[in-house]
Amino acid sequence: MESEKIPAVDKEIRKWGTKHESLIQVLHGTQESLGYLPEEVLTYIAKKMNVSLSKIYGVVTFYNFFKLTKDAEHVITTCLGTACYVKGGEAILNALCNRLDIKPNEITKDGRFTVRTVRCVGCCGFAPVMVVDGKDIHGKLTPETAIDILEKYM
Amino acid sequence: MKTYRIHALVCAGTQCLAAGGNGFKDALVEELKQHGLTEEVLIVETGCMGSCQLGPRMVVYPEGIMYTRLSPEDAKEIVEEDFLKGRPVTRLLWKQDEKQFLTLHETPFFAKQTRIVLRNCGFINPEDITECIAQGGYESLARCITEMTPKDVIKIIKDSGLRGRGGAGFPTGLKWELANKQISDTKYIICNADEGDPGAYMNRSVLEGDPHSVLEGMAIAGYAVGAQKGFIYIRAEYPLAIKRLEIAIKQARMSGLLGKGILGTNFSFDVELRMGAGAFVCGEETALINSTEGKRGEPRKKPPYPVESGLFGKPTVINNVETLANVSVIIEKGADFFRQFGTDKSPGTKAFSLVGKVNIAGLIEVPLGTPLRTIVFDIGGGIPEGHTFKAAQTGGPSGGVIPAKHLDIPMDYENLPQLGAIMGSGGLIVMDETSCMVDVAKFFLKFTVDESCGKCVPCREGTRQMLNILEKITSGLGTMEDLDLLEKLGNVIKQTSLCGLGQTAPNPVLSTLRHFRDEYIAHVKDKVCPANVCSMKAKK
Amino acid sequence: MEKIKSIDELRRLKEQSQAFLKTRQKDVKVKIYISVDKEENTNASRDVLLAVLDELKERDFSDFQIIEKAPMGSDIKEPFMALERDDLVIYYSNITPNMAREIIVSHAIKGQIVSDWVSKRSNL
Ligand SMILES: Cc1cc2nc3c(=O)[nH]c(=O)nc-3n(C[C@H](O)[C@H](O)[C@H](O)COP(=O)(O)O)c2cc1C
Ligand code: FES
Repeated sequence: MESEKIPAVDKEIRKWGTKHESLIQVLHGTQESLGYLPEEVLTYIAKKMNVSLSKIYGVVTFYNFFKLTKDAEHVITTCLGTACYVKGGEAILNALCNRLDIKPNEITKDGRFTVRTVRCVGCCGFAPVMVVDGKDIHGKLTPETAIDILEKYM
Repeated sequence: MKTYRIHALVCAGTQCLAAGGNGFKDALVEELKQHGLTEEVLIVETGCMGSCQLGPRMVVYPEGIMYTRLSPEDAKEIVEEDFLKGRPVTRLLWKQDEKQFLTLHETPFFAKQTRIVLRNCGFINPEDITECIAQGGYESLARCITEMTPKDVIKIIKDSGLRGRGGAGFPTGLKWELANKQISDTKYIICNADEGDPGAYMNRSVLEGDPHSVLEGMAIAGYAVGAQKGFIYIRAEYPLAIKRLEIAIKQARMSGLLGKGILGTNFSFDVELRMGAGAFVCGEETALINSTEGKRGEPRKKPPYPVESGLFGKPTVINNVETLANVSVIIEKGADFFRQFGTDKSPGTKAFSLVGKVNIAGLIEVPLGTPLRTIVFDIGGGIPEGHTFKAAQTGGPSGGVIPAKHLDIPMDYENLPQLGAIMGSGGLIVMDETSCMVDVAKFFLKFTVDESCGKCVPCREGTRQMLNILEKITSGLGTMEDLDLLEKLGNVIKQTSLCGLGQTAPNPVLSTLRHFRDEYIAHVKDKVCPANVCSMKAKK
Repeated sequence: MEKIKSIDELRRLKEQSQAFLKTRQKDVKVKIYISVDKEENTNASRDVLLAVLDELKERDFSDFQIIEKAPMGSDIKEPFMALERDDLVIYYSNITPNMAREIIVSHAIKGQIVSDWVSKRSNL
């Protein structure tokens, strides 16, 4: 495997140990440093932790959080939890997708943007809400303000 | 000891930060420097104060003056007028119905609330264990392990009538007693902080605002049942709560309040965090156990119940965040104190996240049995922009709707099921006449179809079929038979699914069918969506 | 952060930490009201305030709150200071920083009203 990815995995395995119960935490940590979980990394984890690759795939694909492919540069997550739904979250999603000319979960051709949905980020008092790159939360959106925010990243 | 004449409590909950709270705090720090007040004014970053819609917020003690909707530009005026001259900046006060309120306690939002679980949220610095100790934190744990037997502890919790706040309302004392009776060298306590209900953030607020209350509750549970190890299973979507918990665990260990031989006794208890990875079903206790073991989060068959054979096959108590946050108060003040609030069968309080079409959305806590009307109209200030209340949804994807006709229903574990709703974990979403109830049902069903883990057929296939029918109805192609079919199918799924997810998945459909059948019929017969939400491609 | 070794140590730590939180609590032994409002007196009042803070710190007394007050009307000369202690409010008017220090030491801390300077008293 490409050597530059190994240290990230090794660090997590050192932190959590090779017991099977640590698998999800190791995957979390690895994805946090690499951005996604490439196949060769999963193979490496399988060997190191002595778990079958199929089992790892089973876990990775079960949870929404894990990604097998490289993500867009900017990930925009629109909330479609109940509070956001009631306050028009879907209109936000549509506006963003239209502006970028993609469907939800697709990545723009230049690899820069993707729009995803999430079920509640716990900011329901500010519904409708979107999160940029997993950290910048914007609330009380209208389709127009959502586009304004998006354009700042363009 | 260093004292500060002014404590400026700035909300640093996720929502206030999202609304720009950090920018305000930075500006405030700068202004204090400019005016040479850093020795006189202490800035405290707290957890959520409740009225999230009015954030970013700050409360200035000793007087408790509350400022709302702050922007960085406001910092200068507050420092010069309030901090230096004692003149409240009235333009930033809470205004409602043409009145303005100087302190939180004067507002109608606060007046009808009772804060037990949220006692410290917004009042202390959650990243400083000494502030928590000043408020009596860990004293209940200390008393339990030095003065009481595990049986005594269980007795108080049983007498208090505390019921699990994670949704099902199972009596907590009984759960602990069952676990206590198991003979095993190893037992576990798990705190369920998965908070999967979309539209609910009570647990997140407690973890962000008062993480030690949960750790203390877990340690007391550990003492009561004979466990030495606890896990907190928390959603990965809550990075701030995770950070605050990590700090809290570290400080508790350093203070000898977690770890080996707590307070010089021979009781040892430690807590570790486990992050979830975005699967709703993992909130279900047996799925959660699988996930904590590093596996796919699929539910297990019950029995055996977790108290008999849970994590790694050992007896395990799983309790919700809010349940655990109640524990130390009950130990401190007694079962009778707790029973002063709420109803006979549902004692205590419940935190709700009051959101949706309501004037003052936020985190609230009321005695169980408080009428829905009080919550929506007195606390929440009613429905905005001249719209009218249509329904409130509780219990998320497992719950149902409460129509306007039943606004006076007491919110507790007995009354809600009678309307086909459930208490759930505390998400309370208010809807006005612009929401279509068929669409709402479809929304929740989509959710369950996505989140069904696929292990059992009724849930995996049945919910898919129900969704197909709803899609038919909302595009104007439904028939009256479809309504009956929905009901029939729903009942089969409820009875035959493996876990709570499937067993409750049809509830949103069944409850809207029950209370808003007219609206379904309008979609089917007249081919119109009365709320004008559904696209109804096939016009009559 | 040191390990707490017994329930008594925990209770001691609790008391100490409570002192730090006095500014946020409802119940304190002494409430000190200081006028700060009038523009022309701002400096004079601020000097009084700083003297008060300094004296409290010097004496290591923490069971107090300081509340800034608007002027009390014409009968009380600025800068004024009022002390609420033992259910009684005592007003001192036309004070200087040095007077303020003495009021803190004898009235706030020891509970002895400085009668010579009292301009008004009232029950709570
Ligand atoms: C599909 C499903 C999702 C659930 N999600 C949660 C959750 O997010 N948080 C929670 O505390 N309990 C959740 N529960 C309830 C748990 O299974 C369990 O009853 C609860 O954690 C027990 O704690 P308590 O007795 O303190 O309420 C869920 C149950 C089901 C069936
Ligand atoms: S529903 Fe969108 S943040 Fe909770």
